[in-house]
Amino acid sequence: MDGGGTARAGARPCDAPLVRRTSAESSAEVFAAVYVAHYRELVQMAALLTGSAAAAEDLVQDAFVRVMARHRVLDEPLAYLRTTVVNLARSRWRRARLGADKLATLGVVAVRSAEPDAADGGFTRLAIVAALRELPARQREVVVLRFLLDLSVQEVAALLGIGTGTVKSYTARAMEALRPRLEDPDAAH
Amino acid sequence: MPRTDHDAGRDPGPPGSGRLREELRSAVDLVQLDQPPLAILERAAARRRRTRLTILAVAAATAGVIGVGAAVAGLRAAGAPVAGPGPGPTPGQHASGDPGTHSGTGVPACGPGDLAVSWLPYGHSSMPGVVYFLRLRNTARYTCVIKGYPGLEVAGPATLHGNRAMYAPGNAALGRIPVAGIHLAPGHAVLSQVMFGGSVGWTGCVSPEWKVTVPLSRGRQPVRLTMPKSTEAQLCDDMPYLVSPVYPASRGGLPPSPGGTPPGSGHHQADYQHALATVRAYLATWKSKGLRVANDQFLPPQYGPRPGPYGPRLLSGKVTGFQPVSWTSPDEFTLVVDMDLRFPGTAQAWGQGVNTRFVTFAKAPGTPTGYRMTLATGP
Repeated sequence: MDGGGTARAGARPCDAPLVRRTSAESSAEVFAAVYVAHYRELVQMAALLTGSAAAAEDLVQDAFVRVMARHRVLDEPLAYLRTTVVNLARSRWRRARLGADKLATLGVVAVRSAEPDAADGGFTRLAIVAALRELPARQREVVVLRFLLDLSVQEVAALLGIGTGTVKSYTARAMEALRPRLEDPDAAH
Repeated sequence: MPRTDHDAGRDPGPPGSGRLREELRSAVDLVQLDQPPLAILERAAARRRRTRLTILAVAAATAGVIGVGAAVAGLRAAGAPVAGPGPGPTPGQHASGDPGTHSGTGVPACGPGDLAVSWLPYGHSSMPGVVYFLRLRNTARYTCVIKGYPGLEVAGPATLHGNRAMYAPGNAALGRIPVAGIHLAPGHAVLSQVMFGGSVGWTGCVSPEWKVTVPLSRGRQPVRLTMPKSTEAQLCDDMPYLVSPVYPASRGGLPPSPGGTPPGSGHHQADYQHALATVRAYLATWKSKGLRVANDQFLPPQYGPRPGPYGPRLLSGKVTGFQPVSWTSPDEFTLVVDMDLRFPGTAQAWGQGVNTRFVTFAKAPGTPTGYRMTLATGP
């Protein structure tokens, strides 16, 4: 069982010195290096995927714990971590949506606080974050991977396990949906 | 997030993407970090690894199937029948290998075109795995024979990898299931149990799409299936799943009812039909007067009217099938009911098309049909 098809997908050439194992390196050392160098990037990515800065760190730490708990040594832990973060964010999103649907069926309307969450510096209330939250999960993932992490279309396709045409299509649809926001920063308020 | 030299030469993206990049980077600058020492996460990972191994050991012991633990460890257990070459039954094929008719009886084997294949929306969290039921219902106008294991493969998404089907005649939830030919009358169904590994410590978990090959029809086009949203069923990387032989749905196949053995579909027909009239009346009321009124009339009081928006509008709804699950008495029993529901807009927790629910009926004098019912996605 390899699984490298997914794991290798998100790795950029510039990451190679950090994430590609050589026989002289221990996987623990490589993992520690990834943790130091890429923790911030993964948390930022998770924050945009979940729409919550508070949840992002928990999610990324969970991803590290899950990946470290594996017996298998990973050739490219960064790519694998990115995939894990995307999957965890998607699961979290699905659970939240399912809960909201059930509440709606029971006639319960979720109430959002009128005050920005002070703990996240207003991140949750940012218009771009709100706009991302309105996108379908796949479109949101494509936007974050392409435009925050600057992954290529091919890398995003491999990381998400979809075709390059699909990535382009999701990108176009997402851009179309976000365009009013980008042209008029006040549009989503 | 600063751009690097690596960015040079990259696809700049569609118009507007530059602005989008700026906005995303400004946004994430607000994200505060509290990065713990890696050692803390390493300790958590070690705990998780130990927990997972313990759970899998219990799984293997409870199920009596050596292969569960071994499969996760990357080993193939010598005695466990698995997909592909090797000893034991081969999914999608009768043990005697005759793909046309059941040996000597002249009764045709059930082909993919004769069967409606679906997942029951049911996740039974019996320790340690999660059990789901694959249902194969005879939609032909004639009786056919079915026997053996349905072939079950993960069809996607591509991010999921390393999963392995293990075909075994028993599991912890139902005990040993004999591989036997079943004469399947029109409208009747067989079930196959599918048990996933425990859900602790796995990565890459997603709700998968499946390819199902019906027994006796190896080589024929598999049926592609997704699991009902209501189960939130997730399969993870490297997770094995146990598949049982098919057995008559009238055996029960679900956790035993408190009142004893679930009935065969031939018993209590009058009660079932009376109860199904309640479902039909419920749907008719939902359609004409709304979900609030329907719940008030046919469901227990805790489902009654509440303020605020209340459920989706129903365009049409009909009962398309049912299966007995448990029988306590004529005053209380449970059926799995298939309903074809159409909504003009959002279906909320329901779905457009076939919805399967576990419906428990309780006698309630004074109600329109003499029953109140509770609807659940699992028993």
